[in-house]
Amino acid sequence: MNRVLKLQKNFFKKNLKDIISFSIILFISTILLTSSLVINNNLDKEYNKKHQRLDTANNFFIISKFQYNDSLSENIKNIKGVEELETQEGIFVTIPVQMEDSLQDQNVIFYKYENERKINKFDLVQENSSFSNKGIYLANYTYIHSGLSLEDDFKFELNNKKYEYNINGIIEEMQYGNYNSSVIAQYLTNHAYLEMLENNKEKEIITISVKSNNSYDTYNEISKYLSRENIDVLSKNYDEQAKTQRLAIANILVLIVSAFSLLVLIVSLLVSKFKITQSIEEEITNMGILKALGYTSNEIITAIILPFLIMGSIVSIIGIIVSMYITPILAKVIEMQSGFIWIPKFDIVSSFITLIINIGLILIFTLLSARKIKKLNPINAIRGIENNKNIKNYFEIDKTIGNIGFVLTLKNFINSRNQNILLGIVIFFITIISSFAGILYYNVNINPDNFINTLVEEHPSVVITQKSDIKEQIKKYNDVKNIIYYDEMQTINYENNSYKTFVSETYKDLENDLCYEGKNPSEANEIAVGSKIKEKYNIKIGDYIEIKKEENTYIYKVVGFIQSVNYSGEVFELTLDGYKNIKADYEPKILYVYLDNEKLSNDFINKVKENFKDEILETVNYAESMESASVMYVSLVSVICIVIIVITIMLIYLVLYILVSSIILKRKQELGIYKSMGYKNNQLITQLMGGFLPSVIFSVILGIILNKLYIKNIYFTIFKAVGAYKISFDYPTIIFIIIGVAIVISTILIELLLSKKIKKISVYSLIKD
Amino acid sequence: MKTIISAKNLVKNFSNNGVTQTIIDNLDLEIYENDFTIIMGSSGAGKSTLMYCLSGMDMPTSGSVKFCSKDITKMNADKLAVFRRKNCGFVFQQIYMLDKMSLLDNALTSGLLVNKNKKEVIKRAKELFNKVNLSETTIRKTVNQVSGGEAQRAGIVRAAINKPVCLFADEPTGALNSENSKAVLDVFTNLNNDGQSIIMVTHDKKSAIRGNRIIYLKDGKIYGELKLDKYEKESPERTSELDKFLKDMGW
Repeated sequence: MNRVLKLQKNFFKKNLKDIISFSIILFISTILLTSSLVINNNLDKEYNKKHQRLDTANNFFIISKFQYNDSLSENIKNIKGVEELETQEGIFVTIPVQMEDSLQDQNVIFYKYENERKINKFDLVQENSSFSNKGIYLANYTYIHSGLSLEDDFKFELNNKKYEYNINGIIEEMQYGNYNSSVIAQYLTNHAYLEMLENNKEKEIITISVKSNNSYDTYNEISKYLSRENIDVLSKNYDEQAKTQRLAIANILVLIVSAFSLLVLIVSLLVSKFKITQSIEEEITNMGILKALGYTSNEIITAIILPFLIMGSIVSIIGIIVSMYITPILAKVIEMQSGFIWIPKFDIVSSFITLIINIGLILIFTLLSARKIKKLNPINAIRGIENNKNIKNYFEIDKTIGNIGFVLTLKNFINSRNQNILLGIVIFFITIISSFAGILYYNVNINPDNFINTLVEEHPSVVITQKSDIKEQIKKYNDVKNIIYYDEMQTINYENNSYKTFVSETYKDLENDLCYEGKNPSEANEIAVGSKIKEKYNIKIGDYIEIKKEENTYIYKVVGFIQSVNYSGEVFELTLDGYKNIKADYEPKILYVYLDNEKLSNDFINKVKENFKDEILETVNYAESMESASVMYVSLVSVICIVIIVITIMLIYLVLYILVSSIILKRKQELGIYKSMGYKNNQLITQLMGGFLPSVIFSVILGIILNKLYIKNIYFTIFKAVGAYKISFDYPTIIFIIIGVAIVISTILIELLLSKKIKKISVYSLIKD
Repeated sequence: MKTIISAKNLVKNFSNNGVTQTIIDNLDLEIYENDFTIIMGSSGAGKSTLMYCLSGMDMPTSGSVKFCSKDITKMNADKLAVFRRKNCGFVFQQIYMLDKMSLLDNALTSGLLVNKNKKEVIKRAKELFNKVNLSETTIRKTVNQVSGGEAQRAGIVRAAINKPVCLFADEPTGALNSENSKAVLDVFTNLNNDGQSIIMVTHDKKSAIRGNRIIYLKDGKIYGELKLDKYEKESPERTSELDKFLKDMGW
């Protein structure tokens, strides 16, 4: 064993730089892999744990106070599956909330902080040292994004009245803790609550929270009951759905990090395989001598793979330790998006899996590469000849068209096929992941409407809730591009369940087409069905379904399917006339206004308020809300893209470092011969680079073509997980081209940088060494 | 006689672990056109170092080397490369051939660097291969498919293809058996007969006898010089004169 250790020590010393490069790549992969595994294994678990610890209810229903009575609760308690029920009074309003740098109109429920709660408890995560009677306890999500500190006041305007609260503390709760379900809860002191209630009596609601033994079934049963009672449910949700909505972006993030970590791991394994194959070629004479001296094949193989295994193990352990500091950063990003506070701890299972994957795969890859040593004949090896290795003279100069530089580049290319295969695979994966990041960046940062359209429903510039009809008058405004009756708040009944329905006078003029199959309804007898309802009831296009509203019933023809992330696919689409089939007295009150310049939405609102003071109930600057919502995604995606770009460049650099160094080392004598003939440094560098260029270009083109063809499917798979069936992304060819060109240029520049080593070596030493 | 290379006050030092060793010690030397100059001396005398300094393959520590009236010690790496491709040809002791190429491609790789006319270069290469007795089949083989002698003759073709001002040979028969050595030396002799100037470093008397001028180095200085022009090639007088010279030099 001693002599094996001596051998491996020698191999280690000789290949130190390459083993370090391999270790760096493996280190990055270990951090990413461990972090993604820790998040994957624990996020859901920790979420559930907190959900349980805070006695969070399984089902939530928000209804107007005026529709509520105690018998309603009693009847719900008797529904099968209901274990515990609690009601909380609240005020349900839409107010502008400071989010990042702008105001976002949010649906907020204000609860009484002091109310006793048996279920739906919350954590007070921060508390102001001074308590204010006129204070608020902000949701952690709002606190993170508003940029407020405990010393600041939380201010907003509602129905022309200004409200201002001291921040008493920050709370975290599991149901309305972020805005992904379109409702967020804030908590007021008794005094502040009653003061607000005085001015907003009509906005008073009751939240019915239910703990049940079968969340989804109970949720359906309660929905059916409320529907039968003709109760308009303002918002309803169940725990699993809330979790999906809340962690949607986090799950996409984890998916991207996991995919990227696997890519980096593959690269590190390919590098180790390549390096071992190269070492065998470089050290073939010494291996022959070792065999002649009596070393067994297994001893030599062990000596070669040990440095990779030892370094791989050390680096994996260090990577796992470092990931303990990186994972909390990712958890913080998740917290920003979900409002869910989670401090990751050392996770033995994830660490063990990473270690096993790393060591196992290194062992397999290195053994596969080193096994050819067994077949090595000692005499041939001493002569420097690998068994059955025929050297072929590719591209004979006298028979190949082109000048000498070109032909030598071709020869270089074919003679560096092992390096080219490795580089090609790495560049291919890098192209795939970079294009993915590039397209994501384009659709979130450059053209954010696409991302918003994928995740939200229709988003006009301004929403006006009118008391009396002012549509035609507003339509005449010069800056109004379009104005449509559109209502997201109506409810209908299908199969004894209460569902939201969108009601619009027209769907063809909307800017965010939610229909992913078939078409939107255009006739009064047509209906489009949300993805979740479609799956639940196995509805097909062309089917006729019976919809109820109070005592009225109508049979509609299903003409299409729509997505809705906010309503988790539990929604319908009806035309205005179609809705009147079941609610004849319905008068549309909500106007969606589309402006030529969304940036002037505030001016428009002021103008409308001034001109129609008595006709308007409420206005919402939707454009501004969307902008602030997109800012959150923009920063998140920017961070992901920057990380991907940095790691990508690092990967290209490290892989090229190994390739170029190995070529310069292996061909030191050959380069010396060229120099003795009078070849200039630049000619040799160009030949070296040129030899790699075809595989780089080929891989980039292949990566781009495959991406262009299949990237939609990748995005579809990812977004389907969060309920988006129609991805409104653009996939501009120019983005793929820019990424491809950038990869090729970066590769050339890095190669140039690394190939300069050739210049430092004198002709004389090249031949003499 | 036209001087093609002129070295003045040539010094070459090597440093190892802080210890400086002088290999070429303030040496003056002129090389003449059409000469077959032989550099001899004991091991470590500085023979190869001198040859590589004269050819611009290595830079002297001080002094100047004028090659065709140009001071090559003042040239940068790229200028030297261009200078070398037009004016120098190299044959090494080891078979330093590009091993993934055929013998023909090895020669063309050098030839096409200077002359862009492919047809002309191919024609010249084939003529030279013919002269060194390498068949069309052999020149299509890679270096590991031919004998050492064949490879070395191909090396001479590669060195001579651009009609260099001077052909430098560093112990070209050192790794060959006697039969192959003779064939290689015949090639050098023939080339010299055609007017090719040659500088050859050798330990071998059989190789040295082919030259018309013998320079003997000792401790980095020229210790002695012998002219053999007046003797017929392969004549006993030429051999005995060389023997006497080498004996005087302490060979």
